[in-house]
Amino acid sequence: MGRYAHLERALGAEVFAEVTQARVLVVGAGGIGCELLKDLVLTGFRDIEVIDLDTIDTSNLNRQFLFRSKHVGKPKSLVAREAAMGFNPDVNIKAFLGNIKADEFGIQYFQTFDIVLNALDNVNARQHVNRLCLAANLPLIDSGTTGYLGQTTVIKKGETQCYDCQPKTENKKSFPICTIRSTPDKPVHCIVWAKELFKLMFGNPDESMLSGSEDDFADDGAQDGGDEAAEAGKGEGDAASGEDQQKEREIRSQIVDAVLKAKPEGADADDADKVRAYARGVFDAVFDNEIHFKLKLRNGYKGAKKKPTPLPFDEAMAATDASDPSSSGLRDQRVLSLNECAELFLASVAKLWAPARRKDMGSMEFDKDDREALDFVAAASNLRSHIFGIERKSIFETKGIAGNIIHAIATTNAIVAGIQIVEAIKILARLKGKKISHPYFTSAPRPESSNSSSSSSSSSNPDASASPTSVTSDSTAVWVVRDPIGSGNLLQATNLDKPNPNCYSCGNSTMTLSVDATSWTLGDLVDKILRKSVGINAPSIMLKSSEIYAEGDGLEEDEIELFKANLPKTLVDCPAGGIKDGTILDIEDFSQSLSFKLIISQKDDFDKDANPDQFELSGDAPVSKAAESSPDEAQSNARGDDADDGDLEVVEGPTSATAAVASKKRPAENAAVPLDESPSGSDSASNGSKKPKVSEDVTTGDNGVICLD
Amino acid sequence: MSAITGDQVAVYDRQLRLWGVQAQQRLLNAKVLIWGLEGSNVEACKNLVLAGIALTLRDHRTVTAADVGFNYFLRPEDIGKNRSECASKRVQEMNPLGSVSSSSEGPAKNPEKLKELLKGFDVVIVGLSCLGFDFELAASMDAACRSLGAGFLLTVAAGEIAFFFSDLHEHIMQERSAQGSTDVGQTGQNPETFSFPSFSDWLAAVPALLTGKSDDSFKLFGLFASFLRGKAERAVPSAAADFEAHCQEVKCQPKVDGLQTMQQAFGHFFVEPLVHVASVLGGLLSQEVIKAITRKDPPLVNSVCFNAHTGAALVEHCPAKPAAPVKRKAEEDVADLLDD
Ligand SMILES: [Zn+2]
Repeated sequence: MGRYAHLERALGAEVFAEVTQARVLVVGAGGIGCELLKDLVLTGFRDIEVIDLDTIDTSNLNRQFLFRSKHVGKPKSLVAREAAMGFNPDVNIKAFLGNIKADEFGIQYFQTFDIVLNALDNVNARQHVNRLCLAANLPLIDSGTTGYLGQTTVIKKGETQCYDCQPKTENKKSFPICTIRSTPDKPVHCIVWAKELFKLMFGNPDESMLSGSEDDFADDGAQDGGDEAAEAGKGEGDAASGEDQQKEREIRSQIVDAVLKAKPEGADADDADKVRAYARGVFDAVFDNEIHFKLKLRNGYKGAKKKPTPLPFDEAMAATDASDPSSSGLRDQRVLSLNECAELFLASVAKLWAPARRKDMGSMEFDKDDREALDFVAAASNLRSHIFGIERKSIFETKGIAGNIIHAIATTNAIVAGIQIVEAIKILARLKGKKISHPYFTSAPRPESSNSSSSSSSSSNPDASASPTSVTSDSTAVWVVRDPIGSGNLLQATNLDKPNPNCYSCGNSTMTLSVDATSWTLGDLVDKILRKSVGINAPSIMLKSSEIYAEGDGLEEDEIELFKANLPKTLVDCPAGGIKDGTILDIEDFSQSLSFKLIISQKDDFDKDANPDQFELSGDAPVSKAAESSPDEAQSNARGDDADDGDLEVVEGPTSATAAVASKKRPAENAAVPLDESPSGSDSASNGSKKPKVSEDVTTGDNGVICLD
Repeated sequence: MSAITGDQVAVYDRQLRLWGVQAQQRLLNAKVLIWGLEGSNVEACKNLVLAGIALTLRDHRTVTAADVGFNYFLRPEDIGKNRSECASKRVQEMNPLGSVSSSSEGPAKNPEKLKELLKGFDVVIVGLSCLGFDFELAASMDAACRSLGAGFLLTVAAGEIAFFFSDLHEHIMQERSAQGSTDVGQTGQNPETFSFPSFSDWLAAVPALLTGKSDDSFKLFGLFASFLRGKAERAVPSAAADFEAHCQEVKCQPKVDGLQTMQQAFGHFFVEPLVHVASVLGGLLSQEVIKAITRKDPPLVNSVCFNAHTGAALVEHCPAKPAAPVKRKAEEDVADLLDD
C-alpha cells in the first residue's frame, strides 16, 4: 500500500489525477495556512506555492503548528514550507516571503495557477486577492475565522458573488467622540481615551481627539444608546450650551497646556523629579480638574445615570483597595489596585521619557507589544474607569482590547481549512477536461438571467448547474457556528449567491490592453483606447485606489491642472507606482454611468505593418449601468429564504467572517457587446448625473466617529 | 490548581483571550487518552496538545507505509515500529510546554483490566478500527469510563464521511461564551446539566435509528453497527456483499451523497482516512473535548457526522431525544432516585 492508494480510492482515479496535477496558490501561512498546507501535501497536491509577509511570533504557536519556538522571528512561509515538505517529500512547495499586493504577484503570476486558496486575516488583502482572481478568471476559495466562528466561500467570476459583492465592515469598531471624551460607560471607551491621551503626550498631538475643538456634549452622532448624558444635554436651551462651549474650550486648553506646554525640556528631561512632576501635572489635569470642571457644566451630566467622581492624586495613592486576589500571581493577569494604577501611570511616563525613547517624542504610535505604552494605556484607562464607575481590566485584557486582538484557536482553523480542501477538490473535478488556456482573454460565461423561476433550496446552485461551463455548480459556502442551527447543523452549507451586478469589483467588464508601457503615454491611453476604441466621454482612471486622471463636471481648477500634467507621462512613469505589466486600472465614465477594468499586458514586438497603432485590445466592452435593468426582484426574494436563516447572523465577526446575506439583485441581462462590432456606448441612455463612487464608502474615519484599529 | 506561568501566557495568549484563564487552567490540569492513531484522532493529537492538555497516545499497532500517508506525526523511518511511540515524540515537539506520553497496550476485554487501562484520564477518545471494529468492546469501554467519571468519545470514518459519538454522562456546563462577541469576560453564568445516553443506549437504539428520521449519513454508521454487532469478524472488506444483503434485510438503504452502492460504502470503512475530512471532524471532536474539560458552552449530544460531499456537519441525539428539555426539575431527579 502506498501513500496515495486511499486517496485514489476515495476520490476516484480521475479526480485524484486532477488533484496531483493542479497548481495551487495558498495566500497566507498563518493559522489557516498551516492547516491548508498540511491537508494539501497529504491529499495528493504536488504543486503548491505559498506567500506570507509575516514572521513567526510566540503567540502564533498555539495554532500555527508548523512552527516551533526556535522559529520565532523567522518568515512564516519558509518555515511552513520546510515543515509541510517533511510530511511528504514528493511535494514541491515554493515559498515567498512577501506582500501579496506586491507587483511581482500580479495577474501574470496568478494566471499560472489553477486555483487559489485564501488563508488571510484581513479584509484588505482578501479584497486584493479577490480582484486578482476575478481579473485572472481563477476560482478562489476564501476563508475566515474568529474564535469559534468561521466561514468558507467559493468565488468565481460570473458565477458567484465575489468578496466585494456585499459591503465589508472593516476590522474596526467605532465610537462617538462624546462617549470617549465625556460619557464613557464601558472599559473599551476608557481604553480608547487612554490611547488618545498617549497620542497627545507622546505622539502627534494634532491627531489626538483630546486636542480637538469639537463640543464634548454636542450632538455629534451618538449612536449606541449608551449616551444618556448626551441625549439629556441635547434638550436643554441653547443659552446653556453656548455657555458650556465656552467653558469646555477653557478646560481643553488647560489640559493641552498641562500636556504640551509643561513638557520637560532640555536638562529637565533628564531630571527624574521634573519628569515625575510633569506626569503628576497631567494626572491632575485629566483625572481631577477636568472632571471637576465638567461636573459644573450646565448641560454636562445632568440627567446622567452615573456621574464621574474626580480622583485627586493623593486619594488614588492612599486607596486601600486590594488588587484582585482571585487571578493568578502574574501581574498582567490581575486587576491592578488604584494606587498601583496611579504609580504605574507615573512610572510609565518616566520610562517613555527615558533617553532611549525621547527621540521619538511627538511621533510615537501606540503598539500593544510596546511594554511601556501598554502600561501607560492600562494605567490611564483604569484610572478613568474608576472615575466613571466602570469595571477595571487587567493589563492582559487591556492589551486585547487596545490592540483589537482577534481570538484564534487551532480547531476552527482546522475545520475551515478542511472544508476549503473539500471545495477545492469539487472545483478541480469540475475543471477537469476543460482547462482554460487563456483565462482572461476569454470572456467568462455569464450565468443567464433566465426568466424561468427556478428557485430551489437544494445544496447545489440551481442556475449555475444549468450552465455546462460552470465550475461552481457543486460548490457551497459553509458556516462554522458554535451552537447548532435549525435541525442540528454544525457546519451549515448554503448556496452560493449570484454576482451582484452593481458590485464595483465583479460587476464590471474586464478588458485587456497589450501595449508598450515604456513608450505609450497616459495621453495615448486616454485618446486611443478610452475615447476612440471604447467610446468613453469623460474618463476617470483609478490606479490602486488613487485617481490619476479625471475630467468632467465637478472638478476644481487645480485638480484639472494636476490631472493634465499626467497626460504626457509614459505609462510606467505615472503616479501611484506606474502602469506596467499586470496593472489593473479602474476606468469610469460618470456621464455614461459606465465602468470597467483595464488590465495592462506589456508587449513591444508588434508587427508595425499589420498593427500600425501598436496595441491590442480584447475583452468585453463595458455596458452602461443606466441601460441595465433589474427585472426580477420578486424572484430573488424566493431564493433568499434559506440564507436568511436567522442564526447565521452570529457569524458576523470582526475579522472578516461576514453574515450570510441573500443577494438583493440578480445579474441583469448583460448583453456584452463584442468590441469590434459596436465599441461605442454612446447609444445607451446617458443620464448625465454623477454617480457616487461605491468604493469610497467602505470605511469612515471622521463624522464624529473614532475608530479603534 | 497550579498558577499559569508567563511562558504559558505567551504561547496560549490567543486562546486565553477566547476562553479565559480559568478554562485554560482546567485544560492544563486535564489528562486525555487518545486510543487509536487513526483519522480524526490524529487531528485531536494536534488540536489538544496545542490547547495545552496532557496527552497519552495509545496504539498497539505498528507503523505501515499507508500510515505515513495520512499521519503527519509519522515518517517513513518509523515503519515497523510502534505507532504511538513514534508519534508521541513529534506530538510533544508541537508543544514543549505540554506533556505527551505513549503506550503500546492493546485493548482488553476483561472489565477490570479495561478499567485499569482507562484510569486517570478525564476524557478518552477511541478509534473504532483500533478496537477491531468491535462495537461491544466499545460499549464496555464506555461503561468503564462512566464508572471512572471520564468522558468517552468514539470515532469512525468511511472515506469522505466521518462520525463521532460522545458520552459525557451527566455533564454540567458552568458558563457560556458570549456569542460572536470579542469582549473578554462577557460570559453568562447559568449552569445547565446535559444528560448523555451511553454507547450501549446508542447500540440499543440502532434499529430505531435505521427506520427513523435520522439523516442518512447517521444511518450509514448505524448499519455498520448493526451488521457487525456480535460479529466483529465480519469487519473485512470482503464482507461487502453480506453488508449489502444486511441493508436489504433491515430495510435501510440510506442515500448518502458520494456513495453509489452500499458495497462501495462498506469498503470505505477500511481505507485510510482522508486528512482534510479528518481535519474537519477532528476539529469538531476536539472542541467537544475542550468543552468537556472547561465546562464552558453547551456540548453536542451525542453523535456528529460530517459529509464532505454536502459540506455539512450535523449533530443528532441518539436514541432520539425525549421531548422534555435538558434542564431537569428537582422532582424528576427524585423520581430517578426512586426508580433506582
Ligand atoms: Zn462582486
